[in-house]
Amino acid sequence: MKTNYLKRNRRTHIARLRITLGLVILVLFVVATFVIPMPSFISRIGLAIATPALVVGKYVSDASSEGLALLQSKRALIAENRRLDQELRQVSIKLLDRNLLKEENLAIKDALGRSSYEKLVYAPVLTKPSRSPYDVLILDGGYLDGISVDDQVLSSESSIIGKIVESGRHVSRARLFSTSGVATPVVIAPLNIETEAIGRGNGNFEIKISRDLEVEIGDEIQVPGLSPKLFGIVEDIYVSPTDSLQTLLFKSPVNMAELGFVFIVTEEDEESEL
Amino acid sequence: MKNPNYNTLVERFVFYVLLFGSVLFLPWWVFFIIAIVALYRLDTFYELILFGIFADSIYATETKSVFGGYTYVYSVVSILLVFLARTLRQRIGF
Repeated sequence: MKTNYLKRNRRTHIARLRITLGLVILVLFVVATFVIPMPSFISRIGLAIATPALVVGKYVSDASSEGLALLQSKRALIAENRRLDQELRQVSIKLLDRNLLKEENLAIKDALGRSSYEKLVYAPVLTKPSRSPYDVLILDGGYLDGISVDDQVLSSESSIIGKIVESGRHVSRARLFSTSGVATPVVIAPLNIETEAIGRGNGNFEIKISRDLEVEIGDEIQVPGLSPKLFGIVEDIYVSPTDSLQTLLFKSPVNMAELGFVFIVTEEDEESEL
Repeated sequence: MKNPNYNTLVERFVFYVLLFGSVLFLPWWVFFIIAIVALYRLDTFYELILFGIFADSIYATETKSVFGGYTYVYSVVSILLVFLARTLRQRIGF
């Protein structure tokens, strides 16, 4: 049987044509998608597909960590129980003090005609920042729970970590302030120095300020407002003899890898009579 | 009679599950490792682009400091990998 093969130069020509066509399509896709960002309906479809799997994954992960705890020896459990009991007592004493201060603070604001009450919504964390290069959290709670875009995300009642960037029916997406390169206006509490904290990813930040300002390790960084929120605590300070600036390094008060739930500030009723 | 493409279909399905799971539950770089293995094992794997779009649809946010605000990073890398695999397969025939 006679078989006809394409001539070698024709095959090479077709292969080159395919490569060129592929490259052109890729370049066109990149250019088009630079101009048109991800449409929100695609995002919602993706989240709708992912949510059931993420909820089941979270349930399985929680259940398996509980199962592993059951495998620990009784002696280890008793030791941990004692340690946690001690910690709880210390924290309870501090909390009493804190509650008194908070009540006093609210009473003073009321007396001055400035009061603010925040409504917090509990939202379990479905995915943590390490799962994507975008440094975002996917949260189990959406606009049906009162969560909307630009709401603050807190890791505890008074510690802020990010902002809601998209809110679906039952799920929402939050961007962390620690996202690499993101600048957030903050105040270094003891001296009330206004500056910007630059995110370095996964809960880490840096601040560059004049080396003449006296900042110490342990100083609080806050987000200013009527109810200031804790942003971080200075952990390290770098000063170079040739640099007029000093670099402050700090982390969010919570470890992002251990973050199981967050609170969303869904509304802030502010009454002002002044 | 058993379909001659049965093993390939099973393998393809396994890669679907692995890619879906890696997008949701594993660090981001695992997705690309599984994608490279899938492209090596299977002759064509254009479905990878859909998984890339899926990952972007879940995670992408417009942040100027992250990839210049570009929201299709997984999709573009997936297209690039499919294209590279196709070209290399034609050139060196792995």
